[in-house]
Amino acid sequence: MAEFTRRDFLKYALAGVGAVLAARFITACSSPQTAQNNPPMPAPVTPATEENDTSAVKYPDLAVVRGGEPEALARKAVELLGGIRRFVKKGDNVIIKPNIGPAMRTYEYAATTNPWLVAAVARLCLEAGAGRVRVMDQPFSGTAESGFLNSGIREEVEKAGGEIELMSRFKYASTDIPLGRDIKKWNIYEDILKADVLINIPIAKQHGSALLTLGMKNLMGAVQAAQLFHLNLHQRIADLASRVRPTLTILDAIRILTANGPTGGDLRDVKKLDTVIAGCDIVAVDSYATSLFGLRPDDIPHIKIAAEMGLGSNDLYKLNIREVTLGS
Amino acid sequence: MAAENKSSAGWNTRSWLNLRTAIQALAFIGFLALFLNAVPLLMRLDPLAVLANFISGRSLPPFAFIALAMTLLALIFGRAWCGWLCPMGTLLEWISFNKCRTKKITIPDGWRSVKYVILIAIILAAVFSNLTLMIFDPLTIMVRTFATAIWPGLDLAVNAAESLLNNVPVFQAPLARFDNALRPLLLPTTQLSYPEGWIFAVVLAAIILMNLVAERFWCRCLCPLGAFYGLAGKISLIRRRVNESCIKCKLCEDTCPTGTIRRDKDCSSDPGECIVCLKCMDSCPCSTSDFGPMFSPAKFNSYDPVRRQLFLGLGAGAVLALLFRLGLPSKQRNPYAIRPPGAGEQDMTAKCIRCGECIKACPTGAIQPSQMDSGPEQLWTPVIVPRIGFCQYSCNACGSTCPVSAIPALSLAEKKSTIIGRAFIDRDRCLPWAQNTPCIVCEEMCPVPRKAILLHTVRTKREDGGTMLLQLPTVQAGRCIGCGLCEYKCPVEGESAIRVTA
Repeated sequence: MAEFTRRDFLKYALAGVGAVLAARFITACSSPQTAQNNPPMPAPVTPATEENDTSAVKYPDLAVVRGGEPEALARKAVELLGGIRRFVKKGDNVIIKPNIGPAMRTYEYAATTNPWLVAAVARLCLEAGAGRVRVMDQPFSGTAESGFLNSGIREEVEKAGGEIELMSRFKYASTDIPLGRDIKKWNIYEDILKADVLINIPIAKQHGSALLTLGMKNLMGAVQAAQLFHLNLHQRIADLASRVRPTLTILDAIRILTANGPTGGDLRDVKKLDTVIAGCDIVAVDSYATSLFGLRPDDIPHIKIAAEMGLGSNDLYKLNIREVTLGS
Repeated sequence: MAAENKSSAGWNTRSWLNLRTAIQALAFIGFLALFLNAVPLLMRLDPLAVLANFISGRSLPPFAFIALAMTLLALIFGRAWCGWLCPMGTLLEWISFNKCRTKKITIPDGWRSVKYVILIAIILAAVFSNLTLMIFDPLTIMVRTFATAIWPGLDLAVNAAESLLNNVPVFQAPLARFDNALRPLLLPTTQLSYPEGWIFAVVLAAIILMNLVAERFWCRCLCPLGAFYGLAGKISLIRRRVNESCIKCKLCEDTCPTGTIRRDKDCSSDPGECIVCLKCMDSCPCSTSDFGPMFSPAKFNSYDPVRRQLFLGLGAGAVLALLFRLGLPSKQRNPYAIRPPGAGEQDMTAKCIRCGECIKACPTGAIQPSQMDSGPEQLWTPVIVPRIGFCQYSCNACGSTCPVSAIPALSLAEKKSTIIGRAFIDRDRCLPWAQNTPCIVCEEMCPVPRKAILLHTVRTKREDGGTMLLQLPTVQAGRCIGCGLCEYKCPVEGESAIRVTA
């Protein structure tokens, strides 16, 4: 074989770079970025009343299940909402977004989502024939690996057959937020925007300025430079919720953190409620969850703003809520 | 390592050379593996680091017997470390610029004494409890440069390539798999930043470029660890021998990478310079030189540290150690020099060997090599710079990685309650205090179980004339451990509105 000279190397390297640029150019021409990569809104969730369903079952807006193991709570809640097959189709690319805010807490401290609940949802999706089920979050203190390890989520999710994804820096893309009132553009994780099904599994926690960390606040794990949200926190949380729209939000209130959140660290601040609140309407889930802390939806500005923006309902009297206590 | 007939089919000189090349490559891979996993073995292999730390810190560092074993090995094999194991030596051999040196330059023999002067200065400064000169140790140079320049630089390059390739749809899935599988093993998971990394890259590049003057210029003239092993080599058991049948053909002189074989000295070599690379045996047409046991000490050369070099080294060490101390860090210490958990200011001068293992071990890139801002005595010792990275609450990697216990190996529980500094809020910059803008990021981030930032709600005027509730943060000093997460996350651009001081 002939010697591979520096000239050859430069030639091939140049050809490689050229090919990449050409491919980039072609993809850019064939699919306008804003149209394909950045749709203004994701595909709508299957409506609560399915027109082609002869029995015309009306699914509840919210399912609240109490008293049971995490897996049983998750299964019952999803069943009440119409079953996992209403949300996950065969071969779907599913992303589950738990809350692993502080990387150093085990699940008992209620600062991170319950690992068995996350695993149960992953298992449900796989049972429905999902092609890929990935669990991802970006903790705000510490590395993602340590967060997945300490919270116990890696172990349980892998047991259930799901994948853990360490969010890669190169996958954040500057994304338009057409409905945003304060922020019109932000760096958001592309895969989360592109997923067929996004399931948001926040944990209910106290929070200094958001007051509560619930479903909408949890979406901040999908963006870069999240601390800049605080310059106008409530509006920006709502703006983000207008762009990142989970198919389903399953709120973990198995243990809730009532003080010193969102980081926690003191078991005296943890209250065990063994409750799961699920629904397609993220604003409705958050609104109901305020009651866990003895608050009303209007006490949390971002819930109020999101409802005003038409992102969901905060009127608990008008919502169809199914409440079930297991084993009773 | 007895000489064998080259023509014999079995184990011959060429086999020894191949073995050396293989061991060099393996040792370099070993260096990278130790580096990536932050295993502090490398510095413990370094007898100079252990000796200097022992003298300076007045106590034996852990696992000192490893360095003792290395010294004993040197008493048998001389400077074989330099030719067989040293990652710096291997790097200098791989990037030797042998083909770029068209005419043979002979550098003055006297230059070889510089390394002995540095060695003696290191030891004498250590007597004054100063280890600043350990910055010249080749292993500290390697670890420091890899930690602050090469590793994060490689990460930037990989990330740039990934970002580019990610635009092509067919590459996206394999890229993601590559990134998730290999990044945790080989690259930092968060973007690390070392503003002074370029300095270390320039230093290493300069050392490599010195090869343009003469092969292994660093090893010949400057390396203090080489000097240490060289002194052991003078009395080592196995040394190069030349017998009477040598025809002075000069072939070995031309191949010797340290230039110690000289025809004008009967083709003999100085065991203090010889790195046991065995190339001379391979080049010798008559098999007149070999490596075997010798029992009388080697004779001294003009450049050996006999009198002038000894006094020069002693003088330089003493003067430097004392000059550096004029700053008296205890009287006026840099308030922003936050030290890794549990490390005292005194330990930083007297125990830290400036190896940079803690810099590599820190998962957030918080630990930075201090520059001159803490005085020359503290040059390149670890400081935490919260605006660049924070001390992770549940992490004690720096202490468990420090090879010489300059940073104590604290348990996680001890580390969580170790105070490394205190946060102070700058009310002239803080958004709620200075601009009536709601912000509680510092309170939100504070990782201690009973938060060290308290929020006081006040009613205040809004821009439009109405009133609003505003939360004002204050620091509860008794609870703050100085981890710097608040300073790191503070959304005020430029200088943080909350700052940790030591």
